[in-house]
Amino acid sequence: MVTPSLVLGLGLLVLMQRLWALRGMRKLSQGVSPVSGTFSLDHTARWGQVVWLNGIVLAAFTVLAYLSLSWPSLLGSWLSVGILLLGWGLCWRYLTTRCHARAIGEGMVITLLRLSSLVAIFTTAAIILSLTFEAMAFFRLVSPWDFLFGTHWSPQMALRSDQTGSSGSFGAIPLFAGTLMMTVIALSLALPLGLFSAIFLSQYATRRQRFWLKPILEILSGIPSVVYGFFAVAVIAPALRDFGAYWGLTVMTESALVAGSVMGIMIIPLVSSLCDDVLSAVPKRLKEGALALGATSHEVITGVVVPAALPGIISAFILAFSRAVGETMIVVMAAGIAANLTANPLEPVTTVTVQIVKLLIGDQEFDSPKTLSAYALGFVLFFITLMMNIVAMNRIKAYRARYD
Amino acid sequence: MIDHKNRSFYRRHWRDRVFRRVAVGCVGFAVLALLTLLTSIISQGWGAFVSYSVEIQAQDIPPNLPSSDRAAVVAIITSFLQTPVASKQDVIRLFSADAGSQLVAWLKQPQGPLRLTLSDDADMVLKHSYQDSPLKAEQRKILNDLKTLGVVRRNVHFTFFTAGDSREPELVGIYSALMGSLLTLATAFVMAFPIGVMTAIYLTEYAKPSAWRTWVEININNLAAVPSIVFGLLGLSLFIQFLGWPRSTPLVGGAVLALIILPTLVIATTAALKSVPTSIRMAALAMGASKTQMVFHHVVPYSIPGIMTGSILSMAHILGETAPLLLIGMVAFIVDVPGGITEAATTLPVQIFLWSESPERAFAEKTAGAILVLLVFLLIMNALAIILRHRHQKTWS
Repeated sequence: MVTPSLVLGLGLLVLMQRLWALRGMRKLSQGVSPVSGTFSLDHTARWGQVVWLNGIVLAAFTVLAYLSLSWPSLLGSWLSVGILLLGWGLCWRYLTTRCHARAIGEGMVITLLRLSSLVAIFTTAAIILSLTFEAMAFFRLVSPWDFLFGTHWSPQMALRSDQTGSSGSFGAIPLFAGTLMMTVIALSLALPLGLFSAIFLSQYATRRQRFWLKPILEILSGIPSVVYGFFAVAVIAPALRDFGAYWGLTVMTESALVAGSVMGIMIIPLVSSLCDDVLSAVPKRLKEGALALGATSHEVITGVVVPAALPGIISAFILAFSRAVGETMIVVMAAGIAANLTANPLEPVTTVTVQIVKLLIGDQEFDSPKTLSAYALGFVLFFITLMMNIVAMNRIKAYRARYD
Repeated sequence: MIDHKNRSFYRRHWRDRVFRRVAVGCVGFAVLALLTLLTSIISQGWGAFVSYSVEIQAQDIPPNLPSSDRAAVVAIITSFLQTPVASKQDVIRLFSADAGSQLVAWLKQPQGPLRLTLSDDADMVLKHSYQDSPLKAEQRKILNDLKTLGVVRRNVHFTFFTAGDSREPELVGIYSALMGSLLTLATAFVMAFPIGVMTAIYLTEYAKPSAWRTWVEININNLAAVPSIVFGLLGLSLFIQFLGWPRSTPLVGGAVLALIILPTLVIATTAALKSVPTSIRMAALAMGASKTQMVFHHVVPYSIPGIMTGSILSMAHILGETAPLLLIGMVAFIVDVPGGITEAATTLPVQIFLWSESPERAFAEKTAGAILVLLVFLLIMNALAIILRHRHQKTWS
């Protein structure tokens, strides 16, 4: 009740100002004292305006009150009356010819826009606060040392708090190792393929080839990760298993290799589009200078273009890394659940994101270490990607400053 | 001497050719990956859109049927086959759990032939002729007999588009998940669009270069690269635990997705606003427009195609988003269409995830079918964005 009336009241106030400014301008154009910037208006007219405009506000309030059938509470009605009185006061204050409606309007718009830009900052702050808060709660139950350097991960299902062994063990090293392995597999596929694709697109491809290849890569990057996850489970995993069996290897259905390689395919377009941008931004004069000296296109690319674009390429790689670390659906579907500290990519491993999903899927209680450990993992994940992003963004900025 | 020089020349150019071929091969790999993905999903998913059923004409139905609907189905089939059947269970398991109610509905209003949907196992055997199917040899024989009698028909499987989730693969549909997606996306759009556009307008048109602006920009660029699962954690603790919004609902899902697309929207809108040339702004100001008039009467209208393109693309991006929705509980088993944004719902990608976890082979087919529907929607949205971009692309000279 109060909120809509507040919104309505403020809206009407702005409308009033607008009308009044228009009226003032018309008067001005009729030749009333343009020198001083103000012109007199008799007292009765001013009051008339106040009464008329507030009549609208009052009518709106009444309609609102009837629509909601009853005043919600005493406090609500007093608040509404207060707002009404405030509206009267503001009317009196603003309904003068000295009032610079345009400046006030501009100020309001700027305030509104500035407030909306606050949302981005609030979001970051909320992420940091909520993760820190819940992670702190977790670290009161489990020591940070055990979490960061323990090698045994089995967050037990605590069905009842008095059950024995309900505490579980939270050594996250197997998760970090699994994440790292998955990321390394994905990146060892995505970085070379993406970089070479970008080299082809920016240096060799004709206009026509670019016209066709760019959208294909965009489609590849637009496919949701849940689809890649299904692709990994339904196509790549059986294919790799058969291939492994042919060579006498046992490839598990849920192996790091399957999830990692599909993740690599998913990241190719990210790397290629970022690298394409930085490679295309290398000034043509550098390239043409090298060509004029008789270098082949291979020598131009490896000797001039890539070194010139290296900071940008490295930052693209860093962004790809942070993307691979945070990727969730592919690993949830195609990698394992059990924490398994191994260096064999043919065995199932689990990652930080898989554990977050597995811990929080279904009902949660916010006082059990099982739920809170997901936040501790999220905290680690967020700060790793944050660091990566900041480094990458600074490098891209430095690179842009170099050639723009 | 000349020979030596020539050798080096050839070696350099040979390297050049190899390098070029490696680059072509890498692009080729990406294209190949896309083609493999699409063909494998189409080859697995086409079956979700067709189903087999048994159609029996009215004159072939015996007059006095047993009162139980399942027994009646068995009676109809055995009398039609005119061969003794070893086990009634074998017959009834060939048909969907829905067959009994289909018979009852037909008996109430006997128009045309009686159509009984086959079970998922029988359906899969007819579609792919698997050898390791869970069907018994007797069941296969019955199925073959029915087939030779010409009553097994292939139909478009409309149930897939009109039903919700189910335990039986032959009865599942994507309708409720699709509606959940729609509600969630609408919520996200309503929340994110005004804030995103206003932030972008502020950053490009109003904010002077200052520490504040840099801070906001850093925040936005960083949020764009935060893993989406972190937003899921935020949604769980902020919206559900702290604000007490109802779990598993499009309201919470939409709010989380809105936070995810906000940076993308801001970046796209900023690019669109920046592409409007300064001369437009100067002209507006010179005619006496205030800054707000200049922005909202001139700059924003010119950049609307760009803003629309950006928002359609970001909508397409969150249409496929799954992980954060798992955390806020949108993984419920939803049969009915959600009635509003405060009712439990699931979305299409989450439904895909849920079905992909099911062990039955028929669910793999449904998963791929749902993926095809999702990809068609994404394709439509992307095509729309591209058309918008091309049609309204203004070249400022």
